[in-house]
Amino acid sequence: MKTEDKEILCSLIRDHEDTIGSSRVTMMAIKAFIESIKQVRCSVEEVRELYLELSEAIKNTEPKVIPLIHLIEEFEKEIGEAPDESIDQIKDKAIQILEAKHHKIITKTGKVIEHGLTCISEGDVIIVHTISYDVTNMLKLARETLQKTFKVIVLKQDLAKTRRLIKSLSAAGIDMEIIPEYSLSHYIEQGNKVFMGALSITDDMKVISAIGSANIVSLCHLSNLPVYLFANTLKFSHRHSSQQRIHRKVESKTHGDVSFQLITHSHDTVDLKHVDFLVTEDGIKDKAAISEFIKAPRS
Amino acid sequence: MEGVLVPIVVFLAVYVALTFELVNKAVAALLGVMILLVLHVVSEHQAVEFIDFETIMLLLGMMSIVAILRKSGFFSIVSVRIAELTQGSPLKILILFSIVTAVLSAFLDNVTTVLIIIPIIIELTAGMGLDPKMYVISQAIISNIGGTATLIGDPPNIIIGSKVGLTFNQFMLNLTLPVLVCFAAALVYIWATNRDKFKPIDTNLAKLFSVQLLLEKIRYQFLDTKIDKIFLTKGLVCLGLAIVLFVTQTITKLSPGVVAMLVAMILFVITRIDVEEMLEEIEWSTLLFFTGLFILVGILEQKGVIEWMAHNIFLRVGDNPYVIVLTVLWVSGIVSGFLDNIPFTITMIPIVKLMLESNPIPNNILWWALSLGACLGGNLTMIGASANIVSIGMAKKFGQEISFLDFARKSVVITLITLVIASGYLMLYLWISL
Repeated sequence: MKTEDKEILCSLIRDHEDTIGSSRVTMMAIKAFIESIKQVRCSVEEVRELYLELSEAIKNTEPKVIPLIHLIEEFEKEIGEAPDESIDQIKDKAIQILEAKHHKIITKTGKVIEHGLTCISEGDVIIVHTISYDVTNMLKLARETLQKTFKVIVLKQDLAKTRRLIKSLSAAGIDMEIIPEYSLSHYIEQGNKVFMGALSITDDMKVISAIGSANIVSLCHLSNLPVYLFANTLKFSHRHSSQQRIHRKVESKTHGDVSFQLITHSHDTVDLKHVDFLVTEDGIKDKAAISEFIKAPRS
Repeated sequence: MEGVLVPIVVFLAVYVALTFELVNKAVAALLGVMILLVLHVVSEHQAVEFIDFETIMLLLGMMSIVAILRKSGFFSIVSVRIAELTQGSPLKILILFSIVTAVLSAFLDNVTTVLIIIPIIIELTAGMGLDPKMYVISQAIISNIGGTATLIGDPPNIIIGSKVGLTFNQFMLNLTLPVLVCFAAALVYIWATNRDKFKPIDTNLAKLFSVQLLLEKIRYQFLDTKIDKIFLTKGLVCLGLAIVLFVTQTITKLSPGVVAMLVAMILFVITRIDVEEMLEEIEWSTLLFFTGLFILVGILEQKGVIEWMAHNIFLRVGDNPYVIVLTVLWVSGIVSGFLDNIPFTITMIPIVKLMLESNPIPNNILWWALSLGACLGGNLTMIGASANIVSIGMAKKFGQEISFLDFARKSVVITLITLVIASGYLMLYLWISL
């Protein structure tokens, strides 16, 4: 696989993750993998190499999309060697495995949403910053199905990112106020809880989440607002936060007579000790139980 | 030819201003008119009489219909569906987008077509690591070829149709065949000269995977607005109605200008759209530009300058109909490559009329020569047609710089090929007609 192709794949996954969140991008990538297997023309000898090449590229994106990586690693183990099978059989098997992985992420996300719904009470004023599939769908369900009345303070980042969240909440008829993320201090007294999503949770107890969330979480933590983190267990990484390959971009900028290099990062690193509740498919863990829950062995 | 010097100088000055884009087109043309009014070369009443309101109505009506259709999301839906159909195959991207561009350009307008197609094609090709420039240039060229097929497809045809009284069906019947051949020839040329860039991707799993993600990104970017199906249906039904009325023009006796304005007004009423907002979408500067040019050319015609040009330039080619047709085709083709084809066509219409008076050529073949020359010639350079300029501008906005030479490298040969095809077609048509 050419370096240029790897860079394209990497930037596509990053762009999607940025606008729709890691759970949704995982579902989308698995579906894309299935579609591409259906279309690819190759021999029995080539197929395994092609799978592994793509898997390797997916596992090395910047940043690492941990739930996707876990599912791809499972796929690699399950696909195994099959020298006697025809190309169609191998492809069918791969598709079946990936369909199962797709189902797995949907189930886990669904359960997170189910548990998360209990975190929303009548009259809540919820501060939302990150573009999370789980959080967005949970808020929609709470309003549309459970008919709960609450208000959301949406912290607007780049409009391209926040646009879909605003549209989804607006379509669900959720009362909301949109403010720039840097204006949160003026609204902190209004809010009574913070909902956030994550790209991953690392083994050094850090949350890799949307850019800007470190400041938001710190301010809310200092103001004693409970922070709820919604993340299924596929987002738990076995690696350190410094190994998450957070994308660093250096851009040359000119503004009037000033030229400079602007350095940006794709994600923030948030200390997990600032999180008050962790909502996973296994239920809601409070601050005291989070660390033990994350470190517990999983199959 | 008394008092011709001032209008000629003003006309040439306007042409220079237009060619080198010294001022806005409409301002250049209307300033020329104002100078002639101030110098009493022409009176206000006479000037107004020179305006061809049929053309203005057709343009205004079509611009309104296109503005409403654009609002309905129709163009985005079509483009995204086409992107999905290609599944990332470079050859399919070229062929399918070219078909859509040609059809939309034939029945709507070239500039709107490229405004919608170019961003999607850049997103798709750049996202796949292909060279977007080739696709951008090809779509600009194809939009000009497609627009040649109908009365409403390209401004030169609108002007010829309205001023000469040729019908929508006459354009379709006489120009569809050469346009189809030119379209196919252009695609074959683009493919043949870039064969290495059209390799299939279906053996590359990683690329197929990227294409799926890319299509999802395109759907998110371009189909994010909520589509109002009722609004869209009304828009499409009205577009269908307009085409039916264009086609049945000889039965209904409704001119294309009346049809376009009527349908636009019906759309305004039934969609209950914000008329003020839609009126902002109309290219008023283009309409004013047309108005000014009609007056300038009208004055030249009144002063006998056009007749002099016809007799001393075009009629000097002799009375052989083959030579006359080829002269009109090639002169129109080459001049339109460097000058705006709108003023050129407006200038040429009275000249062609005089040429026909001296040497009657059957079946309107000389008008088809003017149409084919002016429309296809627009492909010669990047300044030859509005669609080229808009495409290059859009590409630049998306980080793809296309130079004059980049464009010319592809466009010159294609223009020559299409003009040769048009020549062959017209010669054959003339031979059958004589």
